[in-house]
Amino acid sequence: MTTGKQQFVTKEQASFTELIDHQESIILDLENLHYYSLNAAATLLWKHLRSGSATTIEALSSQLAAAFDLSFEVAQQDTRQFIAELVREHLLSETEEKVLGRTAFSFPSSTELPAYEPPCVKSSNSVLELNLAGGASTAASGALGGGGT
Amino acid sequence: MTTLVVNDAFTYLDVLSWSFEISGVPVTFVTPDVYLLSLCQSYFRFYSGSPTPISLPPKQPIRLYLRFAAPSMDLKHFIPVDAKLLAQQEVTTIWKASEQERYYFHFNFGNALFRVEPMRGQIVGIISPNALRWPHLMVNTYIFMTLMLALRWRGSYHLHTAAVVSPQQRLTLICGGQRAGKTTLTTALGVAGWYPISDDGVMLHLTSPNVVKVQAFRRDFHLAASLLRQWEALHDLEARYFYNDRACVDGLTFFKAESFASTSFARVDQIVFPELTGQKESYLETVSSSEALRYLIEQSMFFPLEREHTQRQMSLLVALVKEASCYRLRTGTDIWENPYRAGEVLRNVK
Repeated sequence: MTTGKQQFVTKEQASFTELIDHQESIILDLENLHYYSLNAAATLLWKHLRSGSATTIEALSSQLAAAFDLSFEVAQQDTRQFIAELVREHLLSETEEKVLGRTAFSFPSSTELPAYEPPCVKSSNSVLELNLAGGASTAASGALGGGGT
Repeated sequence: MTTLVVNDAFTYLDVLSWSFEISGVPVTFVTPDVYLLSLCQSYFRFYSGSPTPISLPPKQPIRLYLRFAAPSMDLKHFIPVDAKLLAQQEVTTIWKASEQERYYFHFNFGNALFRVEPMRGQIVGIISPNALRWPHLMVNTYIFMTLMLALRWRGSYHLHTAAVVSPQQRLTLICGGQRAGKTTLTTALGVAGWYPISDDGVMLHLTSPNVVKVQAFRRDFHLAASLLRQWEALHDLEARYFYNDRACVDGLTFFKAESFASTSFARVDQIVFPELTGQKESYLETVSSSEALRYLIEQSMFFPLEREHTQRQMSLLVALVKEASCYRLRTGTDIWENPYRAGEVLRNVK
C-alpha cells in the first residue's frame, strides 16, 4: 500500500526516449531489454520522476492535475495506478533517500498536450530474446534469421 | 580443444585477397582458395570499384580469412570450453569467449565455423568442404552475418528492411519479418517507376552526433520465382541462380537503381510495415512512433548484443522514426494483380 508521501526513484538502467514531444515516449530497460511505450500523461509523470522534480504520489498528482486541468482526486487515483504499474515492472522503487534528478527535461504548457487519457504504460516482451540476426534474410532462414524474404 | 590461430592457417599458404569498402570500413577477404574468393567477389560485387563517399572519419579495417577444414576436422573443437552460448537456432549456435582482455564470438553453422574478434576487426572462417554444396548459404549467411557483427563494432548497424526511392527522390523503408511481403512490394514499386535499392537490408550509422545516415546493403534481390512469371514487366529479368523458391536477380541494374543504392541518405521519409491481408484492396494505416520503433528493433540485427551497441543502435532507430511517417500497409491482392497499384497506394503517403 502506497501513501502519498512515499518517494520513488526510477531505475537507472531505464533508457527513456521521447518520440513525439510531450505526447509519446518509450522506455527500454537496458538490464533485461524490456520495452515500454508511454502515452502523454505517463510521459509527463515519468519526466517528473526522472528529473526528481516530483517523486511522491502527492507531488506527481498535483503536476498531472495542473497539466491536464483535472481534479486532484482523479489525478491522484490515476497516478497511484500508474506508480503501482511501474513498481510491478521494476521500473520504479521506493526510497527513503533524497532523490537526485538524473536528467533535465522540458515540460509542456497545457496547449502542447493532447486530450487527457489516464497514464498508460504498455509493455512488450523482452527484446533480449529476439533472434540475434534480427530477422535478416539469411539464406539459413531458420538459422538465426527467420526473415527469408 | 584446438586453438584457432590465423598465422598457422595462413602464413605458409599462397593467399589471395580482395578488398572493398562498406559503410566507410575497408574490408579485405584473404583466402588460399580461388573459388571461395570468387564467391565473395560475386556476392559483394556492388561494392567493387571506388568507395562510396559518406564523409566518415577513416575506420579501422576488417579482415576476413577463409580456409577449408581438413575432412577429419571437428569444427566444434575450435570453440573454447568456457565459451558462453548466446543463441541457438536449429544447427547454428553463437558463442562468446574471453581471453584476458580480448573476446571473441564463435558462430558454429554445422559445416562451417567462424570466429569474430570484433575489436580487432578479424574474422576467421573454417569451412568444411561439404559447405560448398550450398555456396549461396555460405556467403549470404555465414560471411554476411559475421561481417555484420564486425561492422557493429565499427559503428554500422544492419536493419532488415527493403528500401525504395520514389520518383521524387524520397526514401521509403519497407520493413517487416518473414513473408510480410517486403520483396513483392519493393519489386512492384520498381515496376511502377520507383527505384528499389535493397530488398532486404540497409546499414545505419552516425556521421556526427545525432545525424543518422542510411545506405542500402547492396546485393542481388531474392524474388519469389513466381513473381518473374506473374508480372510481364519482369519477363526480361534474368535469374542469376535459384535458391529454394527464390530467384536471385540483379535488381539494382534492372531497375537502374545503382546510383541511389550507393547514396548515403540523411533521412528516411516514410517507413511502411506491410502485412498481407488476402483481401482485395490495399490500404494504409498510420502506426504510432513507439509501435514503429518496436518493429524496427525486431528487425535489427544483433540488437541485444553488447549494451553499448544496443544503445547506439537504439538511438539510430529513434532518429529514423522521429523523422519519418510510419504506416502499416494492409496489402491486398490488388498489388499482386497489378504492381502499378503499389505506386498509387504509396503515393498517398504524406
